[in-house]
Amino acid sequence: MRRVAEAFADDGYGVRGNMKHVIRTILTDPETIEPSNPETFGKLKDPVVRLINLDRIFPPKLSDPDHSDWPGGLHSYDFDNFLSIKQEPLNAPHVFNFYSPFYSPKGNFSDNELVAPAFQLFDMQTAIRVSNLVWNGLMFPGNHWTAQLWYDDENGDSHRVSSYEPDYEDYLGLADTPEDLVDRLDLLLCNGKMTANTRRLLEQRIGQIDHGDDDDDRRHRRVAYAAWYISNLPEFIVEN
Amino acid sequence: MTLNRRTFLRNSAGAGAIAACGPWWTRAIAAPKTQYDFEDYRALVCILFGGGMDSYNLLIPYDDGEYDAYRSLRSDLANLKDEDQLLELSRYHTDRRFAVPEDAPELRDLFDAGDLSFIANVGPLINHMSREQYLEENRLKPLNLESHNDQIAQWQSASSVTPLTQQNTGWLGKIADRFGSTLPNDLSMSWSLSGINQAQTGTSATSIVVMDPHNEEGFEKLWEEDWFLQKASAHRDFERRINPEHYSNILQQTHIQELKGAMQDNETAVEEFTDGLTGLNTEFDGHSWAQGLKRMVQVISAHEYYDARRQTFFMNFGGWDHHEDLHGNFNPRIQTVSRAFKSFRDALDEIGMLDNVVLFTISDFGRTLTSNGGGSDHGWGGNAMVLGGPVRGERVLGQYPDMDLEGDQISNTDRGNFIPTTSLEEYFAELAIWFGLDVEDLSLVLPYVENFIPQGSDQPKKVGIVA
Repeated sequence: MRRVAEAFADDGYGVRGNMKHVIRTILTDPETIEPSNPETFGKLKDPVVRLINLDRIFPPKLSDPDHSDWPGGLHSYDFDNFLSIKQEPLNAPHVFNFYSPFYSPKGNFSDNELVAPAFQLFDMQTAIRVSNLVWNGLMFPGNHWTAQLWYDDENGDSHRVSSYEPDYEDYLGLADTPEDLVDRLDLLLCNGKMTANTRRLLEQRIGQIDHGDDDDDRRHRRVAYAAWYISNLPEFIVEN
Repeated sequence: MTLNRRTFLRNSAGAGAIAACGPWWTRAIAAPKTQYDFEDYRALVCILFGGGMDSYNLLIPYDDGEYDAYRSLRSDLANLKDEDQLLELSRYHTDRRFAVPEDAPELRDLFDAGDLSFIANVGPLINHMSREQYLEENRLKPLNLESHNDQIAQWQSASSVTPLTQQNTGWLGKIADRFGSTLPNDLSMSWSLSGINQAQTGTSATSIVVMDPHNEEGFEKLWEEDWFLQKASAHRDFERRINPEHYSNILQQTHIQELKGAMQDNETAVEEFTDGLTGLNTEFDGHSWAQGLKRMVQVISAHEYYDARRQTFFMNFGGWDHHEDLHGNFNPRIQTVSRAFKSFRDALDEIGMLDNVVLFTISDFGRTLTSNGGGSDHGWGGNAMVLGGPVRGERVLGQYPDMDLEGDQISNTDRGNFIPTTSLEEYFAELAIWFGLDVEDLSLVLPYVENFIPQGSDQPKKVGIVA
């Protein structure tokens, strides 16, 4: 707090409220780069944050971006996909949001009086459900987890826009070399902190996706598979 | 309020035994050896009305004088007798007349048939207290009355002096600690339709089995072999090759351990239960509350298949914080509850388990008697329901308070909040005893029970919920 407040008060050139400097100070604070208690520092990402992290790297795009067939205009949207993972945006189950700030998983957390609030949402259903939701969204066009949009046709009847797919374009060129693909996704999704153990396993698994003569198809599968595999890893799910 | 020394020693001994149980990531920490061994099957079902139900519009006085006082105090919140908005309850066991709202005919029927009773004006207390005692400055009161998250925690732990930051366990979880697993496999006796919750969290018991009300099969099929990709090999990696010891950060260690546990628990559940689940002829509404109760009955119906002797179930029927439009919000919800409870009772009867199950309700707090101009605000004591074959039905148990802002049990004369006349300890102790907990062990589960039920009391069942 002190370091950020000082950066706000003076950016080093006597300017107060230089927000670029403030944000740089936050992002490069020693505690974010080298926390003093690395063994207990960090947080579990919320289910929705996990999905949005993936969206930033593989932005969902409409297969048919032409909006002219929506004469009635956008009708509504829903987040029904998020119900099953217990985190429907804008609809927390009670006024204290989705989990208790004091939740302390049994074991090393409760024994040491540490909290890890988002673990309250990580139960035996959601642990698997989020993984399957990501799998379906990454692998099958039309099954994306993102908000469902509804539009009205010329007769005023509502239809769901269901043709989202993740954009893998930036990564297809790396797919033939598993090490390069893992390097890139490690940087973007795991802050470059993937363990040697998972890196070795993942490179091996990607290399095993080698059937068929269709280069484009194989590359798509490799990228989608790598993204899904990483989405289950502690290196991705825990910010630390 | 005293923490009994013997209890303290016993609790400490338990904690020591747990700590000595091997590496912390061992998921199922062994429960202490107990003398508990059950031949029969019993289930306790905890329904949380999250948000704080206005339960003085659930159980309403019907005698002319008392009704008039209710109507006058509640003003626009009152259900109107002369417009047939009330259904009178049987008077077989009560000397006062009571009613439920017209949207809850099933609750009336359940009451009249002897399957349902109410516990009047129950809530967290440190000791019984009158209004005069409440007004004494130094008198001990439950922490943070009227605060949702404090009160909801106290209702689950029956510990009203524990700060929110230390409210980690609940009384059902502590019972599971004592009973250990009564299942032959590794699955816990604690089943939830609403995810991880405080009520079922113990210190040493295994984790909570989480089901989805809308999943017919109850469990998520995970990472099945896929037709075109390496999903099965990923499954093997996460099962065997990615382990806590690969990580030095405890969040990462806990995450991978919980993920492995979830994979294992779902697999065990699918193997052990799916075949044992039976269809039910009883109709349930599609609402998630009704579907959750249906899932519970299905699990109960299969108990012999997986040899369970004791189980607790938990579900949050949320959304009762009706500061606005009480009628528009409360009435449809109580209708859903009423129908769901009736289906639950009928389905238990269908599978022949009505006498083995007790459902009980909890809520953050009762609400203010007076209106804020459309809704009611946070109160204290409220009315709860108990349902099931073992329940001494057709009764309003405890002491239903007078609808009088100057009455002995009023803590707030402006708004009409009731000081509870039945404590959580008195309410839960009877359920725990019915469930098989030794009276001697009550204080391990309900830490301040001896403030209400002295050690060695020959009358531990003070409310009369079960025979």
